[in-house]
Amino acid sequence: MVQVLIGEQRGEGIRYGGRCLWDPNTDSYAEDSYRNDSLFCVASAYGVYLY
Amino acid sequence: MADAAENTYNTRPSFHQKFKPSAVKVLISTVMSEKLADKTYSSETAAQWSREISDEVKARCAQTRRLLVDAASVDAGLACSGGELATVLARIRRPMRLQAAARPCPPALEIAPPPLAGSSLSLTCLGTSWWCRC
Repeated sequence: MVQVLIGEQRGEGIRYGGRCLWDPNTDSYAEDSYRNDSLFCVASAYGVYLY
Repeated sequence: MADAAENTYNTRPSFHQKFKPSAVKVLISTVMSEKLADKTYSSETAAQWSREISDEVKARCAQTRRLLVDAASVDAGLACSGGELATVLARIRRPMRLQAAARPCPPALEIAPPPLAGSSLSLTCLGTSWWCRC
């Protein structure tokens, strides 16, 4: 599952949240952010094992 | 009363099936830089970009997993001849263990060409598993 947020960069701060239900023994997530002069982007990927 | 047949279901992913946050973080950052490097914010196209980024991240995650599984299940000599595999493994910086079929294998195997300039990737046999270092 991948969630991506893109917004305009105006030098303000933001708060952003994402949730996913998972099993701490098997699942995990990764996220990273990117910004340039005009925009910012936050992407998070959730890895959930199905069994 | 013990069951005669051994249970065959899985209760957890094996090591190479696990989601690896450090590898995926690098992947996400690569995809975002590729897609957004020359872009200026526009409210009309932002939705489309975010969809493209998420599809790309999803596709590359699936590919990484398949390659890691291939590396574990096919003969190591064959797996290592693929440049693509070497690139994917090189993104995972720390040493990792690859499960392989229990068959006689050479004690150590260098991957050529090196996945990144000035680096090397080697596989060492530990009986039934491979130790991968890059």
